Amino acid sequence: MSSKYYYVVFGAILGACFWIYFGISAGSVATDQMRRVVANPHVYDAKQDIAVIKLKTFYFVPKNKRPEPNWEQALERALKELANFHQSQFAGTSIIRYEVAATSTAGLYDNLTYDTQDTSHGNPAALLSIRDELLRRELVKSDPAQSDGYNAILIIYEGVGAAGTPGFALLSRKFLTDKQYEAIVSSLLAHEFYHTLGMRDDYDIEGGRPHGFDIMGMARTMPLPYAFIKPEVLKRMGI
Amino acid sequence: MIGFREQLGSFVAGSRLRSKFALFFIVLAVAPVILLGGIAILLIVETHKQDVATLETQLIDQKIEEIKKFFADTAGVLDLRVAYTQKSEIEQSQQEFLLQTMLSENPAFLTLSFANLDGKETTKLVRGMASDAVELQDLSQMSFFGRVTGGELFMSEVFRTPTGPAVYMSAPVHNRNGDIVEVLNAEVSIDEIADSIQAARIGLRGYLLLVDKNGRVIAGPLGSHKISFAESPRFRSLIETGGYDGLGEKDRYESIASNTAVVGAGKNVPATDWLMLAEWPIADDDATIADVKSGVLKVTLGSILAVLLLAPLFASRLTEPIRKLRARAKEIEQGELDRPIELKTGDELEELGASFNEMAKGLKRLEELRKEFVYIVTHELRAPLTAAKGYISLIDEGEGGPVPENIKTLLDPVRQSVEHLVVLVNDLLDAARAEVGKLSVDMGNVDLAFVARGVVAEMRITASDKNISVQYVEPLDVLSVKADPKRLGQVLINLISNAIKYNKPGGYVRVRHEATDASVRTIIEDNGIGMTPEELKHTFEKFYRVEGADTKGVLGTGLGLYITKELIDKMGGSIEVSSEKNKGTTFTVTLSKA
Repeated sequence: MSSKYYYVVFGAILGACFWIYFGISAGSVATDQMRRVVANPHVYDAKQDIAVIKLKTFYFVPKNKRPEPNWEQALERALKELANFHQSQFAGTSIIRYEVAATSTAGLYDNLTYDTQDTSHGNPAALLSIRDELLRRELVKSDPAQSDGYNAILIIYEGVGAAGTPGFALLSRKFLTDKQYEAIVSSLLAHEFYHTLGMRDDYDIEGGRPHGFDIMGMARTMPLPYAFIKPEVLKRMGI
Repeated sequence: MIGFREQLGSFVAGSRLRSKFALFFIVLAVAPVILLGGIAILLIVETHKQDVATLETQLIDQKIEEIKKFFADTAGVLDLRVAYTQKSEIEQSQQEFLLQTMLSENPAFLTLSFANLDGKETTKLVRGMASDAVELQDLSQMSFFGRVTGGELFMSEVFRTPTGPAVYMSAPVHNRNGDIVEVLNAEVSIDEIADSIQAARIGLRGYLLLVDKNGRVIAGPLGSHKISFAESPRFRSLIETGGYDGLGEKDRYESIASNTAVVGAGKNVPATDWLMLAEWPIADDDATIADVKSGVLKVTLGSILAVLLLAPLFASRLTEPIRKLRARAKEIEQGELDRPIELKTGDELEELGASFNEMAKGLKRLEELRKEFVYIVTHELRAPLTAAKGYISLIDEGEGGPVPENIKTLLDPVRQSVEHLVVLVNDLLDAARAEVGKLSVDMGNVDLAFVARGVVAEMRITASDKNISVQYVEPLDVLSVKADPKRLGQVLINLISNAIKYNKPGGYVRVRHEATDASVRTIIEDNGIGMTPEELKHTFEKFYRVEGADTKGVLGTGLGLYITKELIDKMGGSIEVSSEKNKGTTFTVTLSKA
């Protein structure tokens, strides 16, 4: 008997051991099943990236008005809640970095200049005129390219109003400090803020009747912990 | 590796039977281990697959039951029926009381409100908010409202609030007649369900996922809400087929939830558009199988190692007696009959060894009898033959009176035959004596040339009849050797006689000496018929004679060279032969110098 039989036998034994250890298994693994979608947050139905949102906040007081005390704490609280809410809704893919102008900003004109005859529907006229003044006074920069992150301006207005447009939002100081709005101020602020990201109202402008449950609809009058952004909206913002 | 091959080769070559046994031991020991181990693993794999699928589906079913109970309980609370029969709204104070009670008794409710059939909320409570701060809404524009006023129970898709996942539910309020009088709305936190699913575990790292029909994760391990299953082919097929049980080939897949290979099972949650998925990382799930495989492998390798070490030992124990028997057979063949073989194996091999010993004893007895017989016969033959030879000589010499020529002619062949018989008997006697160790030599210092000269002179007479010359090269010096002079003469006669017998007319026989420091060689060479290499091997064997056309008619007993070698050995010398067919033969006798 030559040694080749030993090689054959040992080869067969090794092969069998190899088969036992590597060959017997419950089955192969399919690798074509899932695909992670990489989130790319952007303005609603637009291209601007919103991974980092730089929110500058001004407390704007018309020339003939006085600033209300304790506005900073209320604003800080509301902004903090907004930032947390935003991060959770966007699953951490978009964050808000806010800064608040240390002091109130005095307007050049009386409130009547900013307010219009019709201060209903959130008083968008005040928002636009204050925005223009801030730009003229170079208190804010115009950066259509949004080259260093998405820039948004929030104006806490010492007057009537709650409005929003891409890049700019306005909220009356009353919502911040009046007790009756204490539970929902963050939701109101969030609602107006999301207009700066291009989201639209989900309620009846005339009658205020909501069409949907989320922050742009019914939830704007609910405490922010109970609010949310609709999945369809998030989808159109790249989430 | 080369060293291993050499060792293996020498192990195999050392004993073929041993290597066969060793190989059989290895195969017989290892094959069952491998076979049974493989079968065991196959069975374990199959049953394990079943167990995994069962565990997963059991957990899924359990959680589905929890969900069903949760919503059944919640729907039960929202299924309000008022005791009156009028088709009118509940009184305001009653509304507040009812909502207050429901809110306090059901922690899952975040908000509760009554709305009239026009859609206007009439009373609303929000957990954590003062009732007077709550803004009442007009729900008439909400798409679900019409369905609820039509009698349906509504549940929205899941939305993710900062406090956790929640749904909006709305149910009609009936009076005693079954008329819808109000709509009761609630924002319901499903944290209880989410927490239960997040806490669920299969094995060490298996988990559950609750996913809505759009692929969004409602509940699952931490961080899973960032994942979307919307792009998953498996997820889409799951929606179509209603589930998978974890036993299918494709139920082992790469999961995006855990970024690892998993075994998955899934089912639709009834009365919702949700799916419950169970995923168990294969590395965790297959840990048991890996342990078994590892165990089987260790046992297999251990068996191989043990067999490799022990098989040659066992095989050697089997082949050792056979080797002893073979060696003993060789000894017997060479005439060594006295040494018994000892085999203590306690089996047939020991019996075989005992039979060998009996056979050797029998052969020894036979050999002794043969020797005795030969000795007696030749001894008994010698005397009458010697007498016959003597009387024939006396008759031939005329001691009994004048012998007529015709009688002398008739006596010649008789004398030659008797002489031949005498030679034969003497040779037989010498051979017999040699076998029993009784071949005697009388050692002394002998003048080699003197003896050789005498023999050459005697042999020349015989050689001249055949026209063969016998040449003797006289040594220059006196060569004195240790020998028996009579036996030395016998040896030289035999060798020169053969050289003459196996020669052709006209040939020669040359005798010469060569001396070294310690010995003297006597070389007898001829140019006779020579021998083949095969014939050369048997030169000194008893009764061996070269058979051939050129040796026909050559008389001889076949004992001459055997006796010659025995005598030289007895005198402490040696003899060698070289030959070439048809060229001649050379014998060289070496004796020690005196």
